[in-house]
Amino acid sequence: MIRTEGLTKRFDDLVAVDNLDLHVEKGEIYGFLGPNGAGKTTTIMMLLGLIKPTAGRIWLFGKDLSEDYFNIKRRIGVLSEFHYLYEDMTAEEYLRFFGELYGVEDIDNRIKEVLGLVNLYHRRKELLGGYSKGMKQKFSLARTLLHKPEILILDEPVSSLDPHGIKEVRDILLEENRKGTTMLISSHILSEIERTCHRVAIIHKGKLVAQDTMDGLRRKLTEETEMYVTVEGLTDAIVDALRELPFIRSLSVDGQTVTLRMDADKDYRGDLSRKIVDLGGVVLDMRRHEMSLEEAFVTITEKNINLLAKEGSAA
Amino acid sequence: MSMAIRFRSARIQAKREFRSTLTGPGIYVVLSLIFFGVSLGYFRNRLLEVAEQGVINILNPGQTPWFYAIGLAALYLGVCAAISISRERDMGTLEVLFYGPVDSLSYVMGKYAQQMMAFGVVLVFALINFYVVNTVTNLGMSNVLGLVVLSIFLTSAIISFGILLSALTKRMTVSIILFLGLNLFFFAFTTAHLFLQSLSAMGVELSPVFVFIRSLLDNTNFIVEWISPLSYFLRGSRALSMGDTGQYLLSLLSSAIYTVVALALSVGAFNWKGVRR
Repeated sequence: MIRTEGLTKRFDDLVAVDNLDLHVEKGEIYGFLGPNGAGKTTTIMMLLGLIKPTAGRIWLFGKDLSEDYFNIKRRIGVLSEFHYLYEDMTAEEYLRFFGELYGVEDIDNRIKEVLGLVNLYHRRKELLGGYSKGMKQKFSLARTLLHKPEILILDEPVSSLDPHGIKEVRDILLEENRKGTTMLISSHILSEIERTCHRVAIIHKGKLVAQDTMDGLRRKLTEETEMYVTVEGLTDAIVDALRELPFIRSLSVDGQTVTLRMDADKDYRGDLSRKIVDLGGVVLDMRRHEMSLEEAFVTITEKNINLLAKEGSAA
Repeated sequence: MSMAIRFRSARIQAKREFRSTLTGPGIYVVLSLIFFGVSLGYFRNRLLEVAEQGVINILNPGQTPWFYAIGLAALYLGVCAAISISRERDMGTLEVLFYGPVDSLSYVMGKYAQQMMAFGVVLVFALINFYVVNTVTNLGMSNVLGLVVLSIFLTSAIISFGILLSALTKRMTVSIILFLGLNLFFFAFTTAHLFLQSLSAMGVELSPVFVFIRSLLDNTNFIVEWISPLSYFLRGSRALSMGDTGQYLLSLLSSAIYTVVALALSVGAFNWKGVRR
């Protein structure tokens, strides 16, 4: 649905986006992450044709934007970080204007639907200038969904919302995705990205340094896994036997719980379980500490890791 | 296909802004001030002249105040045009429009159409005003159709000049200053040029400094005549006063060309400056 090849943008001496190859599949929620100034917004602006790339190509729905500008734009919904609205218009007037612009049919019902989604239908007659920041953000989402876009490009979609608002927006986005909408989400709220996105890409200093599922990222970033095993009838024999296993790197015991640091190349839970049971123990609980997206993000950006370059050299 | 979509997009944008113009007090306040001021100033003076001298000899007494009023209204619309794009860029709403099916050509066309629609309101206002004033004063006004057509073309040139300046600037205040500053410069230039020419024609001996200024203005006047929308206005009204149909038609044609060139440059400037704040 969205594809870029060698996408590059230079501003004088600054390379804002450097040879970016993105590929967002149909129906996917794709997290697009990066520290401030990494080139995310520039990339989004280039996708939308608002900034001309210095080099490279972009395809949306398999077409270059210049091939079918108006029809492609009608099939995309964009929610930006800042909520620029005509504040002298009421919510209803504003949506009617955009509905007309996008050629939305049965506009009255559609306005009712989208304003209902964000719980603002009862305030449709109010001027947008009187809306709070959070309301403006939800209203902007309603405008973004008005024309039933097939691709949604969302830049910080929940940044001004309280926890209820965040959940509300998350549910709306997940529902839209269930209906088949492809999404590219850029956000600093990594927990939200982790919850909603199928795949994430990390851009750092203009370069794409990682692009994978969350599990894939974890696998690539962690050499060892931390496992917490609670055992009924934990004995020294069991502890010693565990320590002897070839994939165990270190081990500590706290009451009935054993904390194991082990190789991350494979899932060793079966081996652990069998060993404990063989020695008369009962496994009550087994939990693995999973690297969060935040940890992955910090690791990649602080240590300047380029997973894609690593993959390339490995291949 | 894409031109039809562009026209549709421009029409929808123009409609929104025109509705906003109609529902806001700005245009009514400004037009009331302009027409009241012109009527009071010009007609009062003419009526005083009639009262003092018993008779005055003017070919078309309504034409000059008409051009004053339309000229000032066109300048007001020019200022509105000059801030239209820069204001939207400044507010960020321009970016949101361009997320959707809007491109620079449809956007500029929409802005132009909206200002011309607002000029339609000015025309209706002007026609009613002049009908009433001319009926009351009995001063009369002829060739109304010629005046109206010329006014449309001349205002179109002023509006497109405003749009061009707006497309070139990112801040509203800069657009206003640039538009008013340039028009003031053009006005001062033309007035000074005409004044010095008339002095020469009257046989007044000019000092070397004034001779130098006059020759400088003579040599640069053709540039101002091409760039300044006011000079198109002046040429048109002069042609109409003299009843020169050829010059009148030429004035319409040159105003139309000016409009097309200014709007085309606006699209170029717009693409160059971008839509972001």
